[in-house]
Amino acid sequence: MRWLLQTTVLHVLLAGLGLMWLVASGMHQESAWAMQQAEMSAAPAADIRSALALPEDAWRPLDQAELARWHGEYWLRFRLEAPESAQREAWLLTMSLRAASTVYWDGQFIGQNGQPAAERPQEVPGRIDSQFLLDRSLAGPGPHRVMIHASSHRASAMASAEAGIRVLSYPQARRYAWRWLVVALALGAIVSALAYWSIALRTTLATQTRDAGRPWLLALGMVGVLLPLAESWRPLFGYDYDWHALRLSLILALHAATALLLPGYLIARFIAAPHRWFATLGIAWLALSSLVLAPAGFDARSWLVQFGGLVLALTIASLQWRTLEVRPLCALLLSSIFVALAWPADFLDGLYFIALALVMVYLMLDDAAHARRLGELHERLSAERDRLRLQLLHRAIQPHWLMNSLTSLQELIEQAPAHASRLVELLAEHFSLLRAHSERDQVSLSEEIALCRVQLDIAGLAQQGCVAFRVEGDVSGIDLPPGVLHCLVENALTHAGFRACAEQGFTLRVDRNAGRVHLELRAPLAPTRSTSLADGGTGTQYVRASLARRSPQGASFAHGARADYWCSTMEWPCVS
Amino acid sequence: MRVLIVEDEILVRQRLLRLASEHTGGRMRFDAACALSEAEDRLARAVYDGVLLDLNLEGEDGFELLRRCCARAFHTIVVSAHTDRALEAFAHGVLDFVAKPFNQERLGLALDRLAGAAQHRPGAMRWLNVWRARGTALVSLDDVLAIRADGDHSEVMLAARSELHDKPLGRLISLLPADFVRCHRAWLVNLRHVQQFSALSGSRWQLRLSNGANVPVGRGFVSGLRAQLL
Repeated sequence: MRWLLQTTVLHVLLAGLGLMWLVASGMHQESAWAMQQAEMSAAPAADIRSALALPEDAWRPLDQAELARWHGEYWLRFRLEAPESAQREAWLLTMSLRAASTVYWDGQFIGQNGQPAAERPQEVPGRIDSQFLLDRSLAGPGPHRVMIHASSHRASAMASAEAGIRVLSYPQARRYAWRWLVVALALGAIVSALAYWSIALRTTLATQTRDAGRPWLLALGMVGVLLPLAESWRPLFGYDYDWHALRLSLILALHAATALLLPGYLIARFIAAPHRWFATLGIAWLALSSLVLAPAGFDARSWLVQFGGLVLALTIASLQWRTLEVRPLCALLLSSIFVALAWPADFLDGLYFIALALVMVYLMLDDAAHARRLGELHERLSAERDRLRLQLLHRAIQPHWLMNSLTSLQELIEQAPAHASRLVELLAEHFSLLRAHSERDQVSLSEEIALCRVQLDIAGLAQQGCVAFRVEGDVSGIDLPPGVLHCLVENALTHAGFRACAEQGFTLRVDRNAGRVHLELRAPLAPTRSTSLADGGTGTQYVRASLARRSPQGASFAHGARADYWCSTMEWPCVS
Repeated sequence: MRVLIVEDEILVRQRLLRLASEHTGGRMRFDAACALSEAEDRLARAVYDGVLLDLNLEGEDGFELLRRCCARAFHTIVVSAHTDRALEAFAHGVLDFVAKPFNQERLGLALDRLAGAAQHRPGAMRWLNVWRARGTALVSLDDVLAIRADGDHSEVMLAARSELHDKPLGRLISLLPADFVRCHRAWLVNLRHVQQFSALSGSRWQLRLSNGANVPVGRGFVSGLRAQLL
């Protein structure tokens, strides 16, 4: 049970990487410093002295929603309680604020992030995240007050300002980046899988075959690479605060793209054409509904998009449960949905990338294996095509027919030179058609009929008779493997004999029904035998192999004796 | 001599008839059959000295027909496009193999060979077609110890049994390999199976074969046989 093994491996990876993320996140959030109060004030105060002199009623509790909409100068005040061991360690003040700011610790200037100003032109934007070293003399045990003079002239309107400070020890600060290593690992896995997938497609020649799902998977892979990059842009490199809205919009767009591409790929890969449009319309409707009903706030929207994409993908994948390759994917999507419900915040921040990376790595490895199988099949079919071409030529120059025709030509040269000349022309036409046929995978039915008629004309001239080849039905727009009818005609000439062929002739009935082409060739029956065409003969083997190569699943060939004729029928799906 | 041409292609049949008649100039009489049934009918109603046989009549593998022909009294000349099977045809005991397309010279050579079959000895025969209750069977010439004239037929002596072949001894020797030599006017012996060449009382000689059977040696064949054995 290979799919069970794959499912197990995927879940071990999901659990392992997810646990690493959760542990790293927990370490980051723990702080020995207790936040006792966070306040904000819009009262005018040009410097720290003025701010310290502000009356207490000028301060009010920090309102993130209001701060998010603020566009001028303001002051923030945080009251912290340092632990008893505070002086034994070195501390960093980490600050997240969409503003230009100047930071004061217990009234003492400790650093600047940009340049706050009363007017936009004078403001120099600060970084979205900043850190300030706290001298040991500043971080003594007991209460401390942090005051921040800020201005946010360039901030876009958002649901929450997400302003905050945290005091971390050096080891904690170092561990700050650990969880992003997990995301980096996921990113590396996606990039590796993408590279392996690309190489696999090139080396297996599968790119020569059209696969509707492959562009979707490529797009999904690209989005899968961009999404963690966009997410880790802030913790790894940082940026000025006025870029924040752009980054969040980019992340949301990438989330939306992933949520559409993943189900889209599954539809293209596994859902048959008639049902594909219904599934696509369903996705489009759900996406539109989500946009209309989307809640405010980046996090809520992102979570909804992530969750919706996973549910959609799971729904589509579940429809193909009978396909073994889909089962590990179904299990992984189900587990991801569970994680999204159980740890929504962590899922949004990082677990989603891990789950997405595993899904994408699995899809790319599976598609690479699929491409390899297709490549092998392609090689087998190419070898089969070459074998069939050789067989076609070999049959066409088989000594009995060719040498008898040449011997007849010898006699005609002496008996009737005009007929001999005509026979030479027919032989030339026959070999010309045959050469053209042997170089192609498919020929039109009218070309195949022309080849048969030339063959019969040659036999007629050599045997001093005439064989009719009647066609009933519309032959236009029908292609078939070369030499199929020619082979059946040649079989009838050989086995039933020329006299029977001349008396009865051939009738080809062409029909299109229920999306399939149906050909029925009525050939003369051998006078003394009820089975003129042995089932294991090279001729019928050629016909079967050619049709099987044309439509591996959908072609059929049958033949047998009827009351007074030999009937060969063949069918294959119409090419729309 | 009377020769039957068996060929289903009308122009090829006409060519065979025309070229053969021109070459032999009345020394041979030719009949033609276009199908197997017609050929069988003619062979049953008349005595033929030779048959010009196409190996592919209406798609049938001609070797079954060839085996039946080779088991009979007349010589067989194959006229076929299947040159890849010429050696196999010779092994069955055909006198000659004419490949299609052919000219008068090549066909004439085969007909001359038929006319002088007693002098001609291709020696490529490997099997002998013998008659059984249900048709013909192949006997390897390696297993044949000796062949005795039996009226218009031949009795083929094997290690533990005898078989019957239609060709008389005179026609058969022209097909057999050099191991088969005449030791008596009524006997051909396979030298590979001779164990002892001994003189009997009254200037009589005999050969002891590998199965213990004795074969008489005619006085006129003693010196030639001794030269070949020693």
